[in-house]
Amino acid sequence: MKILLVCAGGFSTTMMMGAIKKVIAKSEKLKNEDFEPMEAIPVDRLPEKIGNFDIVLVGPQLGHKFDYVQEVAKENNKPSVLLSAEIYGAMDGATVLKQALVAHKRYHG
Amino acid sequence: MGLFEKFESIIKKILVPIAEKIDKQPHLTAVKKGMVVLTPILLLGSMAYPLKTLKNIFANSQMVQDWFANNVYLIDLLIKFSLGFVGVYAVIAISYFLSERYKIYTVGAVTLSLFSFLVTVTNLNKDGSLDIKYFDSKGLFTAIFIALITVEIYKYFTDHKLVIKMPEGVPDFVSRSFELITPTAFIAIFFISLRYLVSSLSGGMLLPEVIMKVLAPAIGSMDNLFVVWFVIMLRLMFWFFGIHSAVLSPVLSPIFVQYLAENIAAKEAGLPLPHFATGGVFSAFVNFTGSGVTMGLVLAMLFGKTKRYKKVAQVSLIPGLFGINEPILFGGPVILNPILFIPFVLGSSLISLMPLALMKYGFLAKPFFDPPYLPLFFEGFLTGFDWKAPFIQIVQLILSFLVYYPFFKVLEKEELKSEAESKKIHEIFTQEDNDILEELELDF
Repeated sequence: MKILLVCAGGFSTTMMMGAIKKVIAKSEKLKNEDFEPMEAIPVDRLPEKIGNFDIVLVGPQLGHKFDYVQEVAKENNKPSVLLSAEIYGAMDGATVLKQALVAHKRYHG
Repeated sequence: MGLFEKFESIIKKILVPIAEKIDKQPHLTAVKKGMVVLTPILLLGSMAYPLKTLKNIFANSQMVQDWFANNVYLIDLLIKFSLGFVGVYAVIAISYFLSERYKIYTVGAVTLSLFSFLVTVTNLNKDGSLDIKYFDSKGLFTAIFIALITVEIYKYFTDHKLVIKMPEGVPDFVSRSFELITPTAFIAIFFISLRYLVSSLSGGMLLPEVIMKVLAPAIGSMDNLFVVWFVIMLRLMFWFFGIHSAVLSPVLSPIFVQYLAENIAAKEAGLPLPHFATGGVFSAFVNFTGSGVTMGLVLAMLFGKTKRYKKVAQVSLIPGLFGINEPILFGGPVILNPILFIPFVLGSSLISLMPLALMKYGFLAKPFFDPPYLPLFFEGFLTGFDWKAPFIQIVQLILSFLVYYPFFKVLEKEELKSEAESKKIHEIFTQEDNDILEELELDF
């Protein structure tokens, strides 16, 4: 599952990406290569990038733009998740990864 | 409903729709994206002055002096084609983003916009050479207008099928170029007429001169400390309601770009620098350790007594040194936290304003360099190469701690009360989600 993280400048999602990668590396069940590539980008680049990924995670500071992200994701038939402020602030990679896995599974049945 | 909830719901009703509108507005979005593209150009232009100071640093080396005597034009070329052509790059970038958004033929739209700009802002000298003084930041606002207008005209022609359509079977690139004929003719006539009209009504002025005259009060307002204070508080208000302050950048960035270019030009000429508000200064001083100068809050949490806040502080510390503070804004949380409204919006705005006031009154060097994202202190130093900058930032840090500390104590007291009750992160997952998670048999 290739994860695309989106925020305003791609800075704080890069941190979140680091947290998620750490969880994957630690986990024996999940393989690193299944999650390659993972990328954190500014929202402006979403339409150009989304094609190469399986799911879009959105930082809470872009809550006011989530409609737009959902629209683009839908056009590309990909699920998208708006991350909650509490989990994002704690940089809780494990919970975010769980959210991503669940959303992906639900979207594709 | 408590007083804060009332206040919150009122502000939210005002700010959130504004943010949404700005973010969805195609012209503003194109300007914002276009200004971001100028970043490397500005960085190149900023490099020129530090490069030239090498000559003074190596004053004793004959070799360096000789090199500069013969080759300084190389550095001048760097300036001329970066800062001296900022308007040209802006036209290209903005018309690209707007036509991309409209899903019309981008190369055609960009080419036409560039043509419109050139024909409107260039003067022909008597000897046939071109006078291109408005290619630089003096032509920036003109560049914005012309790019937007040209693309709009082009779109109108395409939407209303006012183009010459080739029959099916004609190769795509051929029919594309035929499509361009009618809008090109109209745009050429439009801008030549506009130029003629402006010139005859204004007694020989070019459009950029007129636009700068009209916009002068608005653009110049960012030299006023009260206006800048208001802007800083507005940004913080957006952040407080969880909206990235970049929504304001379509308005702010062009002014910042122009200010920086004017300061660099003044530095080159050995004149006093006119402006203190640039993108670099906002990034280094106003948003020192992140919007709201939150490092003081991070430190208060780090040395506090509660586990939760300690953990948030640990996550927030390192990114904060690089000016990134989403972890503390969302993790604290600062956002929508009524107790932190006063220190975050009011208190920190004054801490942000302090270095700018010092610049205005000459105690701190005004900026002529837009440094890239750098950790603590370096960025501030580089804006104006002033050794006082790091000390000012230490003062900002101490003030930040003092401003946030009493309010954090209130938070801490509440948290200590509720720390016994465990927080429930599981609320994110529904029962159905939990079933899926169980099926996945994750090991984390």
